[in-house]
Amino acid sequence: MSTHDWSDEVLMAYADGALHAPDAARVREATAADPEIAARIDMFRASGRLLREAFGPVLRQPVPQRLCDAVQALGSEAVVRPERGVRAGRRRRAAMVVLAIAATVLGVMITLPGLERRGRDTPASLLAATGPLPASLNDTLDRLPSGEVGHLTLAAREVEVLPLASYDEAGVVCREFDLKVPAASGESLRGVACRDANRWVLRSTPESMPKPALGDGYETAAGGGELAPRLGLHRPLSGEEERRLMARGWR
Amino acid sequence: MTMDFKTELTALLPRLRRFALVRTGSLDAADDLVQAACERAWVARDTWKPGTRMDSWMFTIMQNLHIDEIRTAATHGIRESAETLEVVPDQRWSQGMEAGLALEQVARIMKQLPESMRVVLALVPIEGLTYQEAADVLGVPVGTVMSRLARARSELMRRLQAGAGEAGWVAT
Repeated sequence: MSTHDWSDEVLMAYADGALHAPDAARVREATAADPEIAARIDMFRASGRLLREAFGPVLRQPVPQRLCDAVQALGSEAVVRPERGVRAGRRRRAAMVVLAIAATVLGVMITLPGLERRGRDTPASLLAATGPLPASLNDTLDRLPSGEVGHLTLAAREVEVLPLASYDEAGVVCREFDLKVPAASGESLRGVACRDANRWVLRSTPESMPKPALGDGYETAAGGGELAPRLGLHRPLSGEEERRLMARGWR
Repeated sequence: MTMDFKTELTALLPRLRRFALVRTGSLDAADDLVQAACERAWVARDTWKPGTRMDSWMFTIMQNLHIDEIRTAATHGIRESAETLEVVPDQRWSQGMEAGLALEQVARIMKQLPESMRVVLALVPIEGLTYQEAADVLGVPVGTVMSRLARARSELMRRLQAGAGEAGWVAT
């Protein structure tokens, strides 16, 4: 038999000690008779050894403190990690897209200086627009801890949702969240939704947030609230409190 | 359960960094990936059973995250993929590795291999998973893992020997 009679997969499995005994015995016999097969097996063994040696020392390097801290902080104080890849630029476009989606999804009319006015942007129309959230956003708020970024589709667009904080005050459970289109960075929308009949209902008018709220640094869940206080919500739940409330179905 | 989870996760960090380094090509990117994976793992911690292998579970999370990020980068027209890694020299890649020329060559060649080859090399020879465990992490048949792995190891050694010939030394 020659190397042509043995697949590389079988010879590799032999080199890795992953062949069953009868098959291993047959390969061993073939090896004795054919140096080419033996050389092939040696090649597989050498590759494994070199890879382990090359990457083994990484294990002995100290783990950066920020990683250890991040693990310890899990669940207590939500951390938003810096997003890789997409960063600066396209802010104006981001604002346009976010606002367009907000108008479509949440049924609100919003305007910013320099942007196209969209319909009646009176406070009355904004208030009238509050109400139950779309199912995908509702489900995301149901299960996503504050500080975690969720991805969903709204109005046929990929949207990122970042719950900022949860509140359980004056007999009502609310969550403050940011809404952003990841296709561009910069502006996002902030809203507050509260539990009503086992679903999330938009309470505040979403507001455009000119300062980056997602992906541009670290922000604590509790630190996000600028809208909630206007609704009488002053004490964001801790990560643990939020987790317990979430586990009880926000009741 | 919470303390067990965090303790086990912390103990695993060096290996998660190594896996991420092989996957991403730089320690900075590796640390970002590890942190993101830990955050995702925390959300999904109820799906991990204490007493079972956390390493395979975390590798699966990291693999999915890494694919997500490559897709996101592609969507945004950003070339943060294997092709970029090939041509961008990164001194930190070889930090902490043995100074031997052969080992530096291994690290360099790893960066040039396609994504599909790097991940099987990371999981099986480097992290010590079985073929079946690697197949479970990647969600592909075990035969696919074996054929990719055999090709990847052959290719690694072929390039290593070609490089050795040019440099005037021979890998043994």
